[in-house]
Amino acid sequence: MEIIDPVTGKRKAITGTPEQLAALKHLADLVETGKNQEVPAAVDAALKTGMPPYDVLINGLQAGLAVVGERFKRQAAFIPEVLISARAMKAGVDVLKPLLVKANNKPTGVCVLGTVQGDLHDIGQNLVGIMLESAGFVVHNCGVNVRPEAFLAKVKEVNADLVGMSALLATTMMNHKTTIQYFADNGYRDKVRFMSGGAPVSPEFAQEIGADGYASNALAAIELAKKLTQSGWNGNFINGDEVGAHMAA
Amino acid sequence: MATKKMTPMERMSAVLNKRQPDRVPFLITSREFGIRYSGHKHHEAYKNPQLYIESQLKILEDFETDGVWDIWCTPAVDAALGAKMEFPDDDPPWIHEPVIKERSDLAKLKPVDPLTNGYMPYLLDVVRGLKKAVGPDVPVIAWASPPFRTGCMIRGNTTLYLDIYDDPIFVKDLMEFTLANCTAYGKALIDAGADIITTSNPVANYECISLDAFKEFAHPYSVRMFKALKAHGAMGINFHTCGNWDDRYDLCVEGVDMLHCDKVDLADFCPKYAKDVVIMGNVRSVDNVLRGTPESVRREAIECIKKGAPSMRYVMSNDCAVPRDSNPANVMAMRDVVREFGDYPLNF
Repeated sequence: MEIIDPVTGKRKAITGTPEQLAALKHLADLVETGKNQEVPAAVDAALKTGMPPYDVLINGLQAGLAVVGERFKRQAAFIPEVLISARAMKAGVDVLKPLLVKANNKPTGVCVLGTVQGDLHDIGQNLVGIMLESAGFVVHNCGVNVRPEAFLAKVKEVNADLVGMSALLATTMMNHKTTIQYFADNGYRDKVRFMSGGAPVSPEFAQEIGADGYASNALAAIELAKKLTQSGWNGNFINGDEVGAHMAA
Repeated sequence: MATKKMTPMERMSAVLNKRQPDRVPFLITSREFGIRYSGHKHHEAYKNPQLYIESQLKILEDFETDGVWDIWCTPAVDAALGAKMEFPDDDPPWIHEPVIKERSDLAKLKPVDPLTNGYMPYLLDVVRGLKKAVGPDVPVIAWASPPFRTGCMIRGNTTLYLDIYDDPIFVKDLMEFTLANCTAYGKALIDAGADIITTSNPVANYECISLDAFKEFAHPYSVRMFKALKAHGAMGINFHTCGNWDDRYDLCVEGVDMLHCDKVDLADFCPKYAKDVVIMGNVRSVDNVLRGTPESVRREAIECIKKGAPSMRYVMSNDCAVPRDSNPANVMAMRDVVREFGDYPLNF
C-alpha cells in the first residue's frame, strides 16, 4: 500500500498485514473526508491489529491529512476542507496522545503561536495552530495582541523550540521584528526558531527582519515548522511556500 | 496636470457609464493613511466625526483624488448584532469575539436599526458630514459589509467554514439574516449621502473557499445586496477583490460597477473585464507604497496607467488600502503620474 509521506510529501510504500493496511486505509479515508465522529473507533480498531500508536498516527491519520494537503497545494481543496480533515485527525490524535506519551514518542516540536502586539486578527494563526497539532506539534496559542515579553515568557514556560508570529496589518507586522529583537536582547534568540506570516508579510520582509522562515498559508507553515525543527537545519532562511512547492496564499 | 475640465463626480460618472473622462480618475483607500496624514490616531476617528471628515478633505485637496471615503471597513453591523468590537490605539477596529457561539443563538438575534444601533449612527453622521462638506461635485464612498463576511465575523471564521460542511442549511439561514441587515445598513448609507457603496469579502476568495462554496454561500447573497443598493439609489457598487480571486472574477462582476483589484496583471485584466466593470488598482500598497520609494512607486504607477487607461474604464489606485505609515511622497508619486500621463486623449 502507498501513502503520501507526511514529512516528505512524496509517495511511499508501507507494509503490514492485510488487516493492518485495511485499517490504515480506512482511517486515512475518514480523515480525508472529515468524518471526525467515526475516527476514534477506527483508531481503536487499528490499534487492535497490533500496530504501534506511532504508526497509526503517521500512516493512518497524518497520511489522510497529507492527501488533503496535496489537494490544497493544487487548489483542489480549500480551508474548509483542510479544517474538517484536521478536526478528524485531532479526534484520532486525542485517542493516541496518552499512548504516545507512554511509548515515549516525543512531539515533533513545541510551538508558541501568537498574533503580535497591536494586532487583533487570529484567523490565520488559529488555522496554523490546528494544522501544527495535527502534524504532531504541541502548540501553545497565546492569542492576539501578544507583547514580546509575553512570547518570551511562554517560550520559557513550555520550553518551546518554535515561535510562530502572525500579523494582518502593515503597521503591526513591524512587531515581528520587535519580538525577535526582544528575544535577542534577553539572550534567547538562539534558543528558538522564528516563523513569520500574515497577509502583509512577504518572504523578503521575513528574511530582512531576521525570522528563520516564512509561510503564506497553514500547510506551508507545517512544512516550515518541520524543517526548522529538524536536527539537520543549517540555519538558512526557509521560504515554507517553496518547500514541496506550496501555493502562496 | 491639464486644466480640470470635469469635477470628480463627472469624472467618476463618465467611467462608470462608459464615457470618456477628461483624465484617469484617481482614488486611494485612505482611511488610516488619511488619519495619520492629518496628525491623528485611528481611535480618534471614532470619537470626533469632524476630525475624520477633515482628514478626508485634506487627502482630497493634497492628493487631488476623485472621492472621499467613510471610515472604511468598520464592522458596524457585526457590532450592532452584539459582536464585541475592539479598538486598538492606532489601528482599525476588529471583531474578536463571535456572537453566535451555538447555532441556536441565531434565532436570538434581532435585526439592526442603522439609525439607532451601535456605531452605525456615528458612521452615518460621518457620511452626512462628508457629503455636506464636498457637495454634489465629489463622490462619497462608503463601506458596507457583504453577508458572508458579516456571517464570518459574528459566527467566527473557522467555525463558519466548518458549518459549511456540518450544517449548510444553518449557513444559508445565517446568510439570509446577514443579507437583510447588511442591506439595511447599506441603504442607510445611501440615504445619508453615500454615492458609491464599496465592499470587500476577503474570507470568500480563491485562497479561502472553493468555487462551489462561493457559488452556494457567498456570491448569491452579495449579488442580492448589491442589486438592492443599486435600486435604492447607489451611483455604483465597488467590490474590492482582496487577495486572489482568479477562478471567480467572472462571477465577481455580477451586480457591481467597479472592481478594485489586487493580485492581477492589468494588461490581461482590463481587456477582459473593462466591458463589464470599471477597473481600479493596483499599485502594490505594502511592497511598494509602504516599503518603496517615490521612484519605485512612480515606475509601477506608470506601468498601471499604461495598461489600464486605454480601456477608458480605469481608476488609478493601489491594490488595497494605503498603509498608515506610508511616506506621503510615495502617494504623491501616484498623483503626479496621473497629472503627467492621465489626460485623455492619452499621450504616453
